[in-house]
This record gives sequence, C-alpha cells and structure tokens, in this order.
Amino acid sequence: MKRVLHIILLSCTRATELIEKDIYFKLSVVEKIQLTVHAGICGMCHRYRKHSRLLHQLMIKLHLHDHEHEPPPIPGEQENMAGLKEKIISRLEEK
Amino acid sequence: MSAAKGAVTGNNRIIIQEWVQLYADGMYTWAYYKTSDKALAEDLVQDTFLAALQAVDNFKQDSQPKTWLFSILNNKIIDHFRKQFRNPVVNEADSGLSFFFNSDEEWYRERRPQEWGTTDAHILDDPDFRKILQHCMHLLPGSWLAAVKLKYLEEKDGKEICQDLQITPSNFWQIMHRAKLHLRNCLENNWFKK
Repeated sequence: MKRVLHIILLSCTRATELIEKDIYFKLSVVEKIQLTVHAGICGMCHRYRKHSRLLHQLMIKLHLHDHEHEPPPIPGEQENMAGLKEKIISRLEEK
Repeated sequence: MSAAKGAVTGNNRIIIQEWVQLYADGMYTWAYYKTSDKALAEDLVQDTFLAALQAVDNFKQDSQPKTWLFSILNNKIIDHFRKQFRNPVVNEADSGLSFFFNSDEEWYRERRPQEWGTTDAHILDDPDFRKILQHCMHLLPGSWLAAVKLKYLEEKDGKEICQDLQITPSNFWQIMHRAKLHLRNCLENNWFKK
C-alpha cells in the first residue's frame, strides 16, 4: 500500500530529489503536481523545500563575482597574512 | 638572485611584490570564501602572483591591477574545482541517502528538518554564520563540493554546468540533492538549533 502511495504521491527521498531538480532544471507537469501534493501533506519535505531554496540564495550570494563588494576579513588572520606575504615575496625572488 | 631569468625583469618583480603588499589580503579573503579552505586559499593566492609575474608584460597599464589579479585568481579557483570534480559516481552504496531516509524512503525521526525561523539570505552578513557555512561545506565529499562550487562560481544554468562537467542532468541534480541534504543537516545542527 505504501509503495503504491509513493508511486502516486512520491516518497520523501524522491520528493526532496525533485525539489532539487526544480531549482536547477524544469519539472514535468506530472512531477510538479506530485511535488505540490506531497509538500502539501508532508511538513518535513515542505520545510526541506524552504531550506533548500534558502541554501540556493546563500550559495548565489556567497559566490558572487564581485570583488568591489569584498567579504569581511576573516577574524584573527592578520599574523597569518604577514607570513603569507613574506612567503610569496620570497617565492617571487626565486623566479 | 641574478637580474633576469627569461622574461622576468627586476622591475616587474618589484611591481608584483608591491601588489602582494597591496592586494594579497583581499585576495586571500576572497579565495577563502570561494573555496572554504584556508590552505588552498593560500596556495591559490601564491600561484596567482607567480602567474602574474610571468604575464605582467601582457597587463595593460590602463586597467586596474586589482581587477587583473582577481581575474587570474578566479580562473585558478575554477581550475582547481574542475580538477577536483573528476567524474563522481553517484551510487546507492555511498550516496548518503540512507543517512536521512529509512528503507521506506521516509525521513528518520532524528534527521527531520526543523523550523529555522528565517528564510532571509541576509544571515550571510553574520561572520559567525559564514564560518559555520564554510565549515559545513568543507565537510562535503570533494567532488560534490566541486560541483556546487562550479555551479555557483560560474553562474551557469543547469544545462551549461552539465556540459561543462560532462554529466547528465539527473546525475547533476542527484549530486546537488545529496550535497544539500548534508549541508542543510550540518547547518541545522551547528547553527539553527542553537
């Protein structure tokens, strides 16, 4: 019975997979309906979809090609940076 | 060291060394946020300056050194992830799905998504949250992380990224599915539950 239901209404594994497909590609009409119904009755997958969309937004924001808006410096890296600069400068001497 | 080896002149070296002082901090931070890996970010910044020294004669004086250096750096970052990707095989044994779903393909009780209380991407402005996000990304298997990185770094759509990686669409969204299940779970445990 469960398996039949899963074929019609999707299992949670399949539903979350389609949530990802929906973000990067296109769902078929049937998949769209199945996913809408599944997320309507399954609170967990409904939440997963919200979280997945937020992750998508976060990834876009994190990877923007825009060095005019540099991310904030990493705390506690100043000492490390001095060492790195020294290392690069001496490597450049070797070339 | 003697004055010139190949095309490298002392003058060019002095210019690049000055750029190291001026731009290395910003480039390192940039590379770190793009790669989620401190040691890798250091290597990529160093490689960028070494490449810049070789190519500085091609640099046009009317453009910004910073822009030029960042474009070299971005290419190096993408090259790195292309190498790292190397045709991942998604199969049931190591797919990670069984960590989240039981044999009936339902969520395990302890892995069910919880309420996060936000859907706002501005949480990324919080340095502590960024740190957790980087940490969680770094825990992903290398090839999954590479697929995620290439998708978002290059701003390609689904079709283009599949061509780039030479995989099928279903292979791509299955990788994203697994990667995001783990990323979501890690963020929930390390940030949203607190």
